Amino acid sequence: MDILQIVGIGLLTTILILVIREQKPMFAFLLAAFFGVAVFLALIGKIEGVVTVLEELADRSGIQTVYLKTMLKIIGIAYIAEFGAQIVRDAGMESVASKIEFAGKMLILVMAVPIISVIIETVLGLLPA
Amino acid sequence: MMNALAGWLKQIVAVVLLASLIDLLLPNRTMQRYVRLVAGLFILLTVATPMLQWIKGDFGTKLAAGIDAAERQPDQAAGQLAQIEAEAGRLRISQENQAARIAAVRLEGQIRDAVEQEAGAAVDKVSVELSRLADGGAQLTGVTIQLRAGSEAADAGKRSGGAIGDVAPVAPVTVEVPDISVQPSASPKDADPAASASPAPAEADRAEQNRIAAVVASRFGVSTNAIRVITPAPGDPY
Repeated sequence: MDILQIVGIGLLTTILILVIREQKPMFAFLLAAFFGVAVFLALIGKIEGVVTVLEELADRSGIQTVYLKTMLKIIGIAYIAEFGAQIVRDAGMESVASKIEFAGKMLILVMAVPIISVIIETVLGLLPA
Repeated sequence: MMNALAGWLKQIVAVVLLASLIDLLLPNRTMQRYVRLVAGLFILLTVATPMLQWIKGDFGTKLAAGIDAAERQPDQAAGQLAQIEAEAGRLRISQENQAARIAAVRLEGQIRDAVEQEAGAAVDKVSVELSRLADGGAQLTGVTIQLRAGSEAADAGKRSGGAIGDVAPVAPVTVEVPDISVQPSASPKDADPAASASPAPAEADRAEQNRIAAVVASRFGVSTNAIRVITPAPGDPY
């Protein structure tokens, strides 16, 4: 049911944007951005259920919680960066959008630094001095 | 051994499943390489876990600390400072409460000793009320001293023998009570014989209480109004 509503609002927004764009490009952008935020906020509550199930599974299979937390943070960063970049891209600022994506990638890599350091330390510890 | 191996395998399978799920959840292709890198590192770490544990023990906490440190950013410093300050305040309050409790217990012991040694009364219980001052100090606002029943009575008898001695001659007066009760105006005096036994000990008690309060007041610098001495009911020991 939700998907029907979202698709309907999306179609409506698209038609409105197409109509408005000729006269007021600014309002067209605002409309697109607003629709994006609305969909994002409408669906953010549903993610909680998925995350709960994932946590339960991780708990049962004995994965360390650090792994799951990091993975979820990575997904969050990816989604938010992608969302922001798309809004900016809609406004025609490709370069700003690519900077946002770059920031997202960097933040994801920063998450990996402690893991890399642990692995490297282990490997170095294995080697004879 | 087999259990550990089974757990290890289960963990690897779970991490691989999680990685594939994360890969599936990604919004677009641009982030995919990076996420795969991190997921691959996690899988590597899971595979190497037994070796890691063998080499240097607890790496899980180290990893968690590292990730926490990586997430900590300068712009969160104010929030963290507030959090740390709140934590410090909480710890300080609990420490002060503990100190006040210890001080109260010590003070109770000292008051008990002082009363027992200087006033010669057996103390059953001492409770002390402390109030917190604005500068963090504490002030003694009330002392309640409960005297022990048996010894207090003996004590009172020993010290104020005259008062107890008065009771004995009064007791035969009860014989005359019927005569007096005939007069209508004598009804208030009706209770007199029974009561006459109690005023004297009550007075002695009050004197005793005043004496104990004075001792405590002079020793501990509390006003005598704040000191309450409870003497057990006079009927109890007999």
